Amino acid sequence: MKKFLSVFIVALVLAFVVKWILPWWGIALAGVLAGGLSNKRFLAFFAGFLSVFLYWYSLILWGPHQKVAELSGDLFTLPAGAMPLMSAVIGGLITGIFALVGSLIFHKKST
Amino acid sequence: MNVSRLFALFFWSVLGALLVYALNNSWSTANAPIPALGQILNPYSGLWANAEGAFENHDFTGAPVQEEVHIVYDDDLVPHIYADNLQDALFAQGYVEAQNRLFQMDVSTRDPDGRLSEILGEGLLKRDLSQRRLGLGYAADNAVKAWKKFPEELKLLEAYTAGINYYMDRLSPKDWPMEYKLLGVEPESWSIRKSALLLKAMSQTLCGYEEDVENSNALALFKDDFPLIYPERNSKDIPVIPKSYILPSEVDESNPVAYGPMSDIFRKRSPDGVGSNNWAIMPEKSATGNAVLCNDPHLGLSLPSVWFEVHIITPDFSARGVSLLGMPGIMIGFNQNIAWGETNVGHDVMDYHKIRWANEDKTSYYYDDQVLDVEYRIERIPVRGKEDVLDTVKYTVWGPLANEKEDLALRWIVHDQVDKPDFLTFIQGMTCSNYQEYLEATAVFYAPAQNFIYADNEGNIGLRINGNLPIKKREMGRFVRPGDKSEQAWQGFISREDNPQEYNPEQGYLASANQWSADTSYPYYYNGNFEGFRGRRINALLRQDKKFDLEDLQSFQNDVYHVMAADALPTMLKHVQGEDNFLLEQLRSWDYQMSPGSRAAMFFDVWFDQFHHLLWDEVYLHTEMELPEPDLWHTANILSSEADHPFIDIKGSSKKETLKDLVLESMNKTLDSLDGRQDLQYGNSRNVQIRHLLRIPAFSVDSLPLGGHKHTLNAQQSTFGPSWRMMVELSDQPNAFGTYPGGQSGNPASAYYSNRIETWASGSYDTLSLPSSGQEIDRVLYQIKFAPE
Repeated sequence: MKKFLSVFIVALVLAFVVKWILPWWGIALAGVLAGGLSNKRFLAFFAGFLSVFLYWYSLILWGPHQKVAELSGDLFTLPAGAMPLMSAVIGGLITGIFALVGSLIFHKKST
Repeated sequence: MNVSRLFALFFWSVLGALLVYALNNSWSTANAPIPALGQILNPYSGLWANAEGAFENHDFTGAPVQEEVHIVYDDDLVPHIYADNLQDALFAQGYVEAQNRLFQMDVSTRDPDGRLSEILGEGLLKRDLSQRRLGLGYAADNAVKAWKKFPEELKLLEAYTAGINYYMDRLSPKDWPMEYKLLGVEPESWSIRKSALLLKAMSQTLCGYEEDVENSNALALFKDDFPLIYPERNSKDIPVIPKSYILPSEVDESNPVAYGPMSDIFRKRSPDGVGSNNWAIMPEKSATGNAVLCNDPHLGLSLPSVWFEVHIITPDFSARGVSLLGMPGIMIGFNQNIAWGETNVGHDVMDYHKIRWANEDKTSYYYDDQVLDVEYRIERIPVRGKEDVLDTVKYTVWGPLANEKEDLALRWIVHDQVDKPDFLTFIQGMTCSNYQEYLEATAVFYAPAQNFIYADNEGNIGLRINGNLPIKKREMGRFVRPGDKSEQAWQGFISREDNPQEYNPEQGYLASANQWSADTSYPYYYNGNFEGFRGRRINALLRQDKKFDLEDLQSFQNDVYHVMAADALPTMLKHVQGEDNFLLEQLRSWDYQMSPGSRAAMFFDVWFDQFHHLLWDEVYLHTEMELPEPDLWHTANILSSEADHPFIDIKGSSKKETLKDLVLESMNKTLDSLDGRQDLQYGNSRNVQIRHLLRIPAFSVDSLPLGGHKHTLNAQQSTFGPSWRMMVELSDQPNAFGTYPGGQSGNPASAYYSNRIETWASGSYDTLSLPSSGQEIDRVLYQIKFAPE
């Protein structure tokens, strides 16, 4: 649990920082570094995923984004409520995968 | 090293990288392109960043202005620009236009330049090629060359350009309009040439009309019968200028040369539905004793709207109205003293000439007793995701060889190198305070010629056609003409003094609605694209012996009385007296109103169309070539006069049909075609839509149940209609109203993207005031300040 939390928090902080330096896919780097804290592959994945998933999701939900959600939902013929989720899944998935990669880089063995 | 770990590392790294790559790029599929999902859906710079948050004030110090400029946005997102001088004011106008409509400005100048496929892909290549054949980019180059001869005046356009670019230079990708993000392309900075392109695009819409090829085909086909099908003028029409001319006639006769038939269909007709109304009444016709001016231009309706509302204040003037994005100044509007507006003049200024080649390679041609070489313009068209496409367009003394297959060169007014700074028209226009000044301001206007209407707070009204009108021999420009003789060229231009015009007429009003400019006593020949029904209606309304208040004038702008139906329907009904059916039941009690709830309005539309096609079966059976459509007014007149026209007989039938036979048969066809739709109302029978520029349904407004018709004053069609309605009563302080189908913001996520549609659709208006300072504006959304270093 402690490991999960540390990957989660580090991914969150790094995601927040890299957005000032790198384009949106900078979360991949956040994932690699945060995932490196865990030798548990799937723990790294889930903690990374959840971290940016929640980060992005709350960024969108807490902003004045209802109209954009409706418009982009219309664009993809999806309900408006699906759009923030879709964004968050993209962010989560990339962070999660790269957290797993980080774990693989920094830890020889999964325990 | 653990092999399985290495494998996993490889696997997940590659998968992650591929995912990032896939989401960071757009993909074209058979159905629709998939945008770069990661780019458009990330919360930092994706579409989410286009959400409209709280408005914030901006201060720019060190801006390229001479004095401080203050912009105050009111609660309709209309900017009020307070500047110390004209140049600074136009800098600010450029800034606010870019701020609200950047993508629209970009795409509307790419179209005339033949550069749409660069951002939209191969699907637009045909359009680009055809635009380049018409020489619109060449025309813009010529305009820029001409403008550079007026460096002092050009400073105004340069200030406007600087304003646009000042905004763009401060944008980061997250601020780009949604459309750029969806397309995955970058905005491009503004230039004077882009303003020229915009003026050329406007000309293409408004004076890009000709039927030379169609008419030549018809003349070759129908020979002596041609005038029976295609008479030039409806004698019932009331011209724009209500007076007779006594100037000596200077028209030379010249007989048309019949070319054709030419089967090559090489271009689309200019859109049917472009038109406008304007009128002004003098104090004796006005309930308040003040002159009133009204104007409603009918154009293709789109989102963002074609117009942008702006209020510009300097120590010399305070003017408000709409501007065409990309051109500085106010095109239709008013200031403290005067109001102005335009409608289109349909004179044909686009003529085709058949080139006689002097060699087989078609590189030199005969012109009088000379042999001339063509010049070449290489057109390089960048195509998104593909190699550039090259096209060579040949240029002759007439202009570009627009149709290579039929050897037709194009003489078009838009290609001319103007001799005056025509871009000044709408800048100077807003500064005027009397008619003399207004005549001078508009005298520089070149094309597309417009009926410029004027009214002031001293009770004067005026109207003059501004624009260069070519002097033509009779029937010149109606058909394809020889290209090997200089005598076939325009004989110069009518002097501005001789352009049709009137000031404070006896009848107490002036009105134009795209009808003929002057009656047959006008000494110059002109042909073109004119619409008479709206002109007849507004004249009938304004001739009434009464004084009009603003409510009356509002009802005129929203009027849906169909003059053509009133001409034609009584005869149609007379010929089917003994019959009884749901169609006739509705039509017998119809008041000729094309209102949304009317069933009769829809029935008439279908029935008349059926009759028209039966009457002109001889024309419509020719599908192998382009022919002009016989005019609807001609059909209506044949009905109402009950004349015995030789074309009433249906070709190929054994019987000799009469008018009654055609009316009856077209009624039966109508009943068949309406089967199952008999309860449908007019407003629901057609789909009035206001589409986004890229036809993105999510950014469009669909299915507005509205009345109107292209021949009624409220010229509402499915995708065309009144794009701005304005009424200005010129009292001490102008009493002005207006609205348009859209909103000030070009951002689909903004509350101001389509907020005015409801007011517009209901036929109401917003109040347009002239606050003399920011403090007078009740609800301020936000403010911008520019200060020099």
